[in-house]
Amino acid sequence: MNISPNQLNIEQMWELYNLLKLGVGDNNQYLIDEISGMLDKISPQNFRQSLLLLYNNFSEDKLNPVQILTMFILGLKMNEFFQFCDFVKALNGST
Amino acid sequence: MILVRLRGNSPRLKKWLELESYKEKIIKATDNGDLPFWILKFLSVALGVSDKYFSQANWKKIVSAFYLTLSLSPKIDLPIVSPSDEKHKEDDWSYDGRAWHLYSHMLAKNYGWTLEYISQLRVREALAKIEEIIVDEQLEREFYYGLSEAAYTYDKKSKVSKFNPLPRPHWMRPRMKEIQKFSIPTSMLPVGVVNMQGIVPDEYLPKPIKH
Repeated sequence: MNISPNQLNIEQMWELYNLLKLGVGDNNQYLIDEISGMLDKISPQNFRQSLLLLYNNFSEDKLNPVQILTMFILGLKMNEFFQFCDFVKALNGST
Repeated sequence: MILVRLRGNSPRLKKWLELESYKEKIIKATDNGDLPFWILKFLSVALGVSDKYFSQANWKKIVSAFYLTLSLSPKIDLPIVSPSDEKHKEDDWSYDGRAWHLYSHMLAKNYGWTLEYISQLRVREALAKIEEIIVDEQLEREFYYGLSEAAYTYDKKSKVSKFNPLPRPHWMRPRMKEIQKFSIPTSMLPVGVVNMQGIVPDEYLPKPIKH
C-alpha cells in the first residue's frame, strides 16, 4: 500500500471537511490535541471514509490502530487540513 | 498558467457583476452547499478558461488563485456600495444574474448605450453613473410624493399636519457624526465613587479638568 497520502483537490478536500467538520473547532495549540478532540466527535464511518480519501487502496485489515492513526495524522498534515478549515471559516465570517 | 492569466486588467462591468454573484454563492455554499463547484466556476469566469484545466489541481493552488483574483477586483469607494446593517430582502421577481440585466437596463435607458459598450465599462465609472441615475429618480419621486396627500398626516391634538418623508436608500441618508469628546469640570462630576468600568469605553469616561 502506498504510504504517502494523496494530494487532495478542492472537491476531495471539501468532502474530507464535511466528513470531519463535527470534530473541528477547538482551536487547540497542538495538532495532536486538535486530532484527539476530533476523534472523540466523529463517527468511525466518517473516520474510515476520510482515510479512504487520503490514501489509495487503504485497507485497515493490514494495519494496526497505531499505524492507522499515524496515517490519519500524516494525511491531514500533508494536506494542511486545518488551513482549509480556516479558509472556510473566513468565508462564512465565523472568524 | 493561472498567474499569467490573472495579470490582465481588472474585470469590466459585466464580468465583475458575474464574479460578485459567484462570490455570494461561495459564501452561501460554506453552509452545506457545493463550495468547490462555485469556487471553480468563479475562477473559470475570472480566468476565461474552462475549469477542466485546473479542477484537479491541489486545493492550495485553487485557494491561492481565488484570493489572487479577489485582490485584483477593483476597489470601489462609492456610497452606493457602502455596507448596510439593513437586512436585504430579495424581490419576488428576482432571478439568477439579475444585477447585470438591471444595471445594463438602467444605463441603456438613460444614456442610450449598447449592451456591448455597457459590458466593457470600468466598474467605478458604471457604478457612479448608476448612483446618479438612482439619486435622480429618488429626488423626482420625492418631489411628486411631497405634492400628494399621502405624504402628510394630520395631528388632531396640535392641529398641524406633519410631513412624512419618503424613505431613502441607506447610502443617501445623512452620515452619523462622530461622538464629540469633551471634558467635564471637576465641580460638575458626581460626588463619591462612581464605578463606570465596563459601561462605556475608557476614552468616553469623564475626565476632570485641571485648573
